[in-house]
Amino acid sequence: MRKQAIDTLKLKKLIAAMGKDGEVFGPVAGEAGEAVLGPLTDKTPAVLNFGNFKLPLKRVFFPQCEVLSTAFAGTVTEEKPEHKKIVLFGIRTCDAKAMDHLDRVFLSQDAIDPYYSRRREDTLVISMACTAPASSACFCLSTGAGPSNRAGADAVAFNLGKAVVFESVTERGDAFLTKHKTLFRQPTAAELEGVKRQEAATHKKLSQQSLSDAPKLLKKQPDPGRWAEVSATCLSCGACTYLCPTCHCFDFQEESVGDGSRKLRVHDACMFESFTREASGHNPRADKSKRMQQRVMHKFSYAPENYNELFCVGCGRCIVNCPSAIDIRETIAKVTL
Amino acid sequence: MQTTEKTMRETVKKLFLDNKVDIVIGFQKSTVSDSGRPFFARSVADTDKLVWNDGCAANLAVFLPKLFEKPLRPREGFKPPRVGIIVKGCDGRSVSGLIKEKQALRDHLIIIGMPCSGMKTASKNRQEAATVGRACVECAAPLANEADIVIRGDLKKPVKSGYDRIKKFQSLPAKERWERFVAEMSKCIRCNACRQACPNCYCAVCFADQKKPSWTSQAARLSDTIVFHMGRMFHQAGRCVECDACVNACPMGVDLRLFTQKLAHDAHELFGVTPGITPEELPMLQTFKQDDTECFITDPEEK
Repeated sequence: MRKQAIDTLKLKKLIAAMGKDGEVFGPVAGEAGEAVLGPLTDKTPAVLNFGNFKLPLKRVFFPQCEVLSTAFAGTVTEEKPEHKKIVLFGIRTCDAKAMDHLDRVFLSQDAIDPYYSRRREDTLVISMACTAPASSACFCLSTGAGPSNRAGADAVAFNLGKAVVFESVTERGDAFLTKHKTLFRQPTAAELEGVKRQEAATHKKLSQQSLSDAPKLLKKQPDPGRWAEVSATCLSCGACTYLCPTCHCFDFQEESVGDGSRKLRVHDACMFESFTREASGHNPRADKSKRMQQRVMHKFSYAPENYNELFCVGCGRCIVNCPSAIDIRETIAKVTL
Repeated sequence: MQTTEKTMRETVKKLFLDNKVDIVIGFQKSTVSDSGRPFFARSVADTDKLVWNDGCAANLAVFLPKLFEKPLRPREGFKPPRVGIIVKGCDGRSVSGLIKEKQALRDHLIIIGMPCSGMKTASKNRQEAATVGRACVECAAPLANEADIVIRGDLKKPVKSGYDRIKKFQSLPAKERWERFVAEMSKCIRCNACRQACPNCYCAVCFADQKKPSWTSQAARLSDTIVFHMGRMFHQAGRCVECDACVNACPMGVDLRLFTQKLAHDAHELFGVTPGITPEELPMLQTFKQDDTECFITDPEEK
């Protein structure tokens, strides 16, 4: 772990230098003034003060729709995503942590997803620690992530206003600091102190309630009636799952194209009635309470069992975007009461 | 507004005490803001949780078709629940529409009409303070006309809708309209929140979810998205009550109102129907009159 600093005015130069190694993406001003993930150049600088993106980063490596293969005249051709060098700069630390979760799913040694891995393998991730909650629904501390957590990032940056302090997390992050060492300088004692103060101050602004007990409590199999109660106002749309940075369920679809066919992989959502509908017409999760149970159990019980991690980073997207304002923390509290 | 809220709670409490309802659909405080979110009150104790404020934007009528749905194999002595529902003007229009379409049972329903002064909704693209939505600014009927109980309070002045925005939009060349439509559709991520939040979208299986044949896929490519939205919107002709439940539910800020309001405009201008208000027995598209206009088929560009 190394620490380097750069004057904020020199960030443009750093982004231009990084651009020589690959495409640099980060927060840029969108059409309606909101920050969206877009290409960074010396002319489109990164927006440093923003809440978080509406859309999760999973879409970069695991797009909502991708062609896996095409079949024509008896020949099947596998589509391969373009191999690109990507730098993700200035993304939120919760989103970086979510990438770490997805890596556990798609890059685990016994089943490496070739499509995901091809897009993901040459990515340098430089996250930016939050200085304030992005919305009133942020709860990253509760999930063990926290506003300056290092998971999923190669380096994490701290915006101190006049200067930005970078701390490397992985070897790749170390190499990044070394490569651009002419632009960096040693951080001053005051800056290092500033980083510590910022971390402590942001922690205080967040909900301190922990969700670490959730897997243990959910394992006791809450009463089905409770799931019905918490899902009563759920509309069975996919806003929560599609905007969730860790939700990764997908569906395969075949479509005909002229005389041939195409195999697609598309995002699926466990909140949809069709999620587990079988070919026979039978649906083991026809009731929305069962689907709500699945979503919560997957994130807070099955994932901790399989990967030793809550599959929730506390970004709050599901809460702010739910048309019925269902709060997953409250759901857990109510079913495990 | 506080007295309104108090009166509402007491009214609902009385309904439970008099054993007139099993469920009352209303609003409770959200966990992350002061606005109201849908809530099912099931007992006297729940009534204290009911809130009424300027953030109660959701259209609660959306829950009715499922509540009244007859089970596939009803148990002996099955009775549909007795439902109370807190409604704004728009929710009330939806409820009336659902009754007309036999999705809600009038004699099992107690409609509690609230004085609506316009609801604030958070902007979907920016971290901005919530503002009063277009549906409320242009609302012609803020009080439900079919209410069984009317709670008095701060009622917004009704506006005579001139459909100015639609008239302006439809006067644009087809190319420009198409470009605008495609631009809005491109924002869509096919989460189906618009459909799920719409009281009129109660089909047991939506055409968009059908697999045999498959009309459109969940793949969220532009052409799929366009087919989905066009299909959904056409199904709203003569039914859309301009409540903007779809607009408010959309996480991506798609301006669906620009297109759904055109349906309301046409129903009004061509057939003299305001869905949920015109007291006709049958829905607009289930009737035919000799002198019904056909200009929308024969000359769609006629303004």
